[in-house]
Amino acid sequence: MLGLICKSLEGFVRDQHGDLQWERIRRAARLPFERFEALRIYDDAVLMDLVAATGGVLDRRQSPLLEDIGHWICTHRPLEPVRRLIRFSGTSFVDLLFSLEEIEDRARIALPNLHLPQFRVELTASDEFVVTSQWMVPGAAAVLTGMLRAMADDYGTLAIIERGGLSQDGDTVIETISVRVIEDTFHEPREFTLGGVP
Amino acid sequence: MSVISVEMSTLDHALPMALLFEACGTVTHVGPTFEKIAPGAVGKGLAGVMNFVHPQFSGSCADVLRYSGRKLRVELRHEANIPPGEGLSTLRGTVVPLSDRRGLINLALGADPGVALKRHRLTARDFTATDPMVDFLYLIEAHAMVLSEFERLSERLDQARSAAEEAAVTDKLTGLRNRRAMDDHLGRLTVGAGPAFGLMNIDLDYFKSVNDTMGHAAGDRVLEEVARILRQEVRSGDMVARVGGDEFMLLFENCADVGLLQQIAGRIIQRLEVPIDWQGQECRISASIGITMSSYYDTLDAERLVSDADSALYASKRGGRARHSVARPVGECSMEPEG
Repeated sequence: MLGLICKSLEGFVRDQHGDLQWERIRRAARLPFERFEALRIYDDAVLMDLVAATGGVLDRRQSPLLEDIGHWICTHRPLEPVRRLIRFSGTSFVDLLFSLEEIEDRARIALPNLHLPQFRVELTASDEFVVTSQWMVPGAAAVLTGMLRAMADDYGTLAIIERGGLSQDGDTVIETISVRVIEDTFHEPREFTLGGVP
Repeated sequence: MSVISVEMSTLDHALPMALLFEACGTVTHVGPTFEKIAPGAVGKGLAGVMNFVHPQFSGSCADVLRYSGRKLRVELRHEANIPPGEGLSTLRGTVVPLSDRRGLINLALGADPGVALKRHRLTARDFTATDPMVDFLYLIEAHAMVLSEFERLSERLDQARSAAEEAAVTDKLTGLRNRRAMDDHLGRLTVGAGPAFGLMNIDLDYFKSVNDTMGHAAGDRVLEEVARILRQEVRSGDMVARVGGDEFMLLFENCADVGLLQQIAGRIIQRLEVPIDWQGQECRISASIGITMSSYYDTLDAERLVSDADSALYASKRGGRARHSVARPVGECSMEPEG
């Protein structure tokens, strides 16, 4: 797994809780370095330890914490390219949901070692979706839940997004999220331009 | 030849950046994305709408149909949203002849689609559903991220390297240079005929008894104080190094005046003999010093200089400590009275 994933957790902690808390988490997770390098490959277990240490130090349950990280990734100003890519991929929130299936492929052509979760999207009723994630560690659904809530807001869509169950198939962790779109254009979408493209 | 006819709305879906023109060259229809980029083309003549960059021709209808099947590079004369100081976007196109000498030009963004995407606020909906533009954007963003990561990384590596280099030539306790730094510096000065320099070797007297009776912390405090005094007694360009436990070496560049170094040596001994306070107790030390000058030698050899300065130092020790001596490279060391 590429350091970029751990680095986003590090960025969240430093930005929301300060460098001192990051230091505590780093020590609790017994990380032998000060910061993650975005393009280096780390063992998957490092991420598990890191999430556990973060929950411990910040005294928070892991799932709400990961939801907050997902929300932060889509709303934190310096990470604007993420929001921009998501907005560009789909012209509505429902488009975005279906484009989740392509996220892993898109990430792989850009950064082959990134190892993002694989998502499947199923339409279960005219306005209800089930998103299934497969990843090497638990937590993908919680992060995605936070991201989808932020993006629904961004699109001006009123939707209920909830995490479902978790199961395991060998080394793969399978999690689900249910999404009910109540009103597609509940309020004005946020402004969106391709500002970062040179 | 079989013929197909297509609804205009279907055409807009399939080719959202296309333009249709009559035999006379009048533009009769443009796709929705074309309209977004350069509004108001319908009704104008082809030459008034497009500037053909390559291949170059007048843009008349008869001309353009000759280039069927070739890649065209074009600009749209009425492109909207051009920021001040910037030019028109370059687009690619192909021309397709239709019945009755009418034609269709299908356009696509050029090699750097970023400019047009940003200018015209295009999103996935402005391209056909199968257009790889979104994937291209992922690559652009990832590329920008990787580049800035590498920039930051090499900056950090540079800093780490200079820190490591600094650490490699610095004595941790006193912050003075170490033996390796002195050897390197002396090595450089003894190659070729540079300006004259003087070398001073200092060994602390009674330091061992401070260490033994008052402990290493007191010893460390004394060494720090010695370093402070030595730094003050040299000019800013001169090198002060701690080359052993209680042994220091001073290198005075651009100096051929042994009398001056003898004065400095005397002053150093005087200042080192002032008792140093350690938690209310007094640490008393002194120093024995040996001096040699590069001007004493016909050919310079770093090892020889160091060993001569050492011999002078031991002459001071033998003479009763707390004094300085000057090397006599050919004969014996002279002894100077206590400074």
